[in-house]
Amino acid sequence: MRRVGLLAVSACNWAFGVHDTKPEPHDAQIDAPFTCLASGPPTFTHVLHQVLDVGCWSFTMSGSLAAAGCYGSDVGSPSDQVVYVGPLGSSEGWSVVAGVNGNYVDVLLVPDGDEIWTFYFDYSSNTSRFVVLGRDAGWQPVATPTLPFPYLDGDYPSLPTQRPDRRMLYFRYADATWHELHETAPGTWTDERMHPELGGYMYNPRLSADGLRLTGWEYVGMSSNQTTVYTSRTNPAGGDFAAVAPMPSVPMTAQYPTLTEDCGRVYLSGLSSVFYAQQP
Amino acid sequence: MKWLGLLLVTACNQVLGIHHTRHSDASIPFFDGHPDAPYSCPMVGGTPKFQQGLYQAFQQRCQSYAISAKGSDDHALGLCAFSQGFEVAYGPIGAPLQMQTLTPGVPSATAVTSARLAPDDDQAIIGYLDISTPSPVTRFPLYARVSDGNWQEVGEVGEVQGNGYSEIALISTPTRGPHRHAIALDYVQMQLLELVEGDGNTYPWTTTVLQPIDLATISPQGTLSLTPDGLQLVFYGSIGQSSGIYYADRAAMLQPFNPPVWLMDLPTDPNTDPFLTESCARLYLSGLGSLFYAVQ
Repeated sequence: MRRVGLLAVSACNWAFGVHDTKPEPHDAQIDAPFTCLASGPPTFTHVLHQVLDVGCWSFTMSGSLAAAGCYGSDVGSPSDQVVYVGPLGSSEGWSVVAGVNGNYVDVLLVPDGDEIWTFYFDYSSNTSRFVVLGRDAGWQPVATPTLPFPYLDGDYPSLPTQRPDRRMLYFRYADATWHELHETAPGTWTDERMHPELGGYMYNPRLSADGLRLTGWEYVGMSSNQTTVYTSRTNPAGGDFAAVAPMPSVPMTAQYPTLTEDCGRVYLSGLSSVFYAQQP
Repeated sequence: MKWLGLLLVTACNQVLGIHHTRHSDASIPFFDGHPDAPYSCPMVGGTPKFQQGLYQAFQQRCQSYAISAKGSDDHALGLCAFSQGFEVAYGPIGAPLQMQTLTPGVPSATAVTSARLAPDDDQAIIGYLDISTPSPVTRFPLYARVSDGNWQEVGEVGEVQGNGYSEIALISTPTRGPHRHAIALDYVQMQLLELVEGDGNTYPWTTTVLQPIDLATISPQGTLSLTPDGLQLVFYGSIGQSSGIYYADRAAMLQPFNPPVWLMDLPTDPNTDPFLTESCARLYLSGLGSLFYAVQ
């Protein structure tokens, strides 16, 4: 009887021309070979794909994993805001791994995928905090890296590059200076040089895993208009960056712009959600 | 042979568990399409529930978006970004809007602050801040569409005081005619007004004070969206610490609105200029250089 059933299904599939289904999730994997330009920002279409349909921001990814900061109320958590982790390419299978009574300024899944660096303002103590969640520790807090200066309100550390010999950029609000930090021993970062060519404030900077490209967003002039910005360099080990320039194909009001390593997509936040745009 | 084919299809439908498609099964297209499900607004005092997923209607930076509600051959009007700045634009639903010519145009020194299309698709209330007087007022001339791309002023719905650029008086989309109504927010007197069109093209429309607004409690910003029957009002604003899109309804026109409720599943970003369709099926909003909509 089972064989007859299988035969009937096969015959009907043949009769209707039904083929095997292929997974095509909300946030499908990139299937085209994109490349970064030698100079200047990549160009994206204006079609925006919604990645998560809950209130999230600060979307970063490593391999098949992604992380974001989200409103606790949107994901059934009693915390004000949470760190939300899940598979890149799907809106299913996400889970809350941490929460705070405060405001996540940035949630950064490092390129190696083993740590999430969280920067948040804690309402109960009125202080800014830097907490690292470790994957091997079940996304519980692990030892915080020793930076050359304490993380303070208004500072913006970038995503670090990939190991070994990690680097990161750090904007210090107190004196409006950009610093390049270098991990000289595991967990110990030294202030290697400053980057005056990056100019002033840039929100949510993302240094690419290879250390060559930097994205962020800025307010334009004194108005409330804002724009995403991009710069790059040819020497990933402490080289100068080119002039910071807008990414004209990214919507002006987007925040937290994060490029994939091949520049094929830019993930961005806006309208209380996360979207991506893709190269044509 | 035909009967054999039908038998085969029927048998295979049974084997594969395929049922007849229903109207409500249709998925929502990525780009804009007409609502395909029979939605309705909640009973008075209720709250519409929207899905958190957003659909990109089209790729154009527009504010103050509103669509007509004739039922067929409907259009949209908004303020859209062109090389010279934001201009009144009009076109089919779901497609980028085209710049329009207003005659007379608004004074060159001032910016158009809102463009509100009538449900009948024939007229639009344009709002602009008049800074030629010692006390700035927001003027609301009414324009009629006279030909493709051209609108002619036919009168002034009214003028409402504001506190300059920081608090520009707001006006809603009008209701369906005849005797159209519109809701305006007077920032100086801190009250909601109901403007009503009289008989025979008389201007300005008559003004009725609906209810006081305590700006310390609720602060609408951007645009007001009134449904064609005049019973539901949607706006972006803040109540206490909660900023976002708010919904208020009432049982009949010329009655005060019930206290606004926060539509918490929708984006909380400012400048979204929400627009609610007549059946409450969709809520359009602006952001990220595009126009999006959420569905019930």
